[in-house]
Amino acid sequence: MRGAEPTHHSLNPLATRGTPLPPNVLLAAKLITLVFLLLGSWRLTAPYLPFIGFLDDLFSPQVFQHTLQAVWLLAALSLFMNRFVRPSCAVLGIVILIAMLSSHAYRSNNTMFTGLLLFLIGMSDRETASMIIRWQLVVLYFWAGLNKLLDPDWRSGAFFEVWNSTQGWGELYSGLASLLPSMVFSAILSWGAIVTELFLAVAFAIRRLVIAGILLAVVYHSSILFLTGDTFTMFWYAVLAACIALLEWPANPPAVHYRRDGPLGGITVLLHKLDLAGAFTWERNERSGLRIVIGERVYNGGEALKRVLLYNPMVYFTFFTLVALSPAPGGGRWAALIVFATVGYAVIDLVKGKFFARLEVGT
Amino acid sequence: MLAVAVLLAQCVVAFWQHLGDTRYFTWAPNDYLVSYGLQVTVDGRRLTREEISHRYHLPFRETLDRDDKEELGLNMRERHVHEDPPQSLLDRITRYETGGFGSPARVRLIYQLNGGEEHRWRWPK
Repeated sequence: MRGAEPTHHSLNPLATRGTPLPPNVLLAAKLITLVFLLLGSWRLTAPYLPFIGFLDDLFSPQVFQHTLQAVWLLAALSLFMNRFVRPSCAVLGIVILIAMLSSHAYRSNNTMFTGLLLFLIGMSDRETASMIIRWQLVVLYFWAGLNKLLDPDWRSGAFFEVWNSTQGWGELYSGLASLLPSMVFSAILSWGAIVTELFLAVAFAIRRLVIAGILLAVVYHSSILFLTGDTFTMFWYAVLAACIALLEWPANPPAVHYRRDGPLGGITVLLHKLDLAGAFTWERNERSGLRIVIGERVYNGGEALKRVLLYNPMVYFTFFTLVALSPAPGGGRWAALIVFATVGYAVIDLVKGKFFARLEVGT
Repeated sequence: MLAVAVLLAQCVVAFWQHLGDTRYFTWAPNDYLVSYGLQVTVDGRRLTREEISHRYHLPFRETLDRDDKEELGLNMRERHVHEDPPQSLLDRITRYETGGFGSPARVRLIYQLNGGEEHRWRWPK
């Protein structure tokens, strides 16, 4: 669905169209940047035992940190003003990566993934963005899965046995584990994680498995969020944003036709009012119910409403903001439940679609 | 091209790190559970928990309570959790102590990786 939508420079920070990036990729970059701001991560760090020696010799620690902050905030402002979006993403990513390389204590996988994702979005365009993000996920899951596979404590379940006991639900875990011989339950969970991560690497490498990869990745990381109550700072947000960037997205704003007093009139009027991103063209039509036109395809009723929600940046901005503002730890568990429900619905929809398509072919 | 180089560089670094005991920049997210206790003495005075945290930038956020430690068979002096390989903890202390940042310290570290064998480490060695 990608196409050459003409560029127009809206100053609306919620807008995602009219830039050299695909709308959903720009949306992903803005979501990551927004959460980074809301979590206070933009404060970055002063140098401390840097991985690259000279990084603590350049300026005083305070000047170094304030310089990083100023550059990052300017790039974030530029991104939200839809100016120089690709260079802005590259700068946002580079600053995070420099901060990480400047401090032994600041380094973390979630910071590295966030920085790399923003940097790689900055290096991409409408043609290459999806492929580059896919391969970043392949690299991430391949090495994450391999690291676990090569570790004897992961293969035996020893890591899980200890780790689970330190979580809030340790008693429940012990109860379940006691139903099986020693370490078996932990080994099953360990191997579940290893197989899941290696499968995700394969899924993101093969184009026709990407949708399976997206659904599995969001469920996998949301399960960890649900169990631990922890988003692992930026990691859960960055993975979800990467998955949003991989969705098929309409090249041009879909046209929504609706009737105010129709069956879905109330919610459609509300969505129209809340479309502050200008993601759709809205037309009131008193003769027909809700209808959305995406390219040459037309969807009606509930199918139309699903797409108004799916392609609506406001839904994602609101969701990410609410999770980021939920008190930690544990405050974001409700978000995992929403993800489970959405993915469950999507899977049923996909299966139904394939089933009916086969029936139609059969008849 | 730069994006491809960045992706390949990650693979090279990950491979290189797998040849040793550290996992810096290798996509090994929270794959380790090091439970540890740390004693640091400077000029004959034992540093407080806050002073140690400040010295080595260790957050000491996650602590194991007595029940956890009993259940896991961990040493009762081990109070904190580190989710990277133990070598990263030793690296940080060593780099700080050899960097000339402050008065020299005597460090005693007791740790277990994933509830396994107990290790003791001292600085200076």
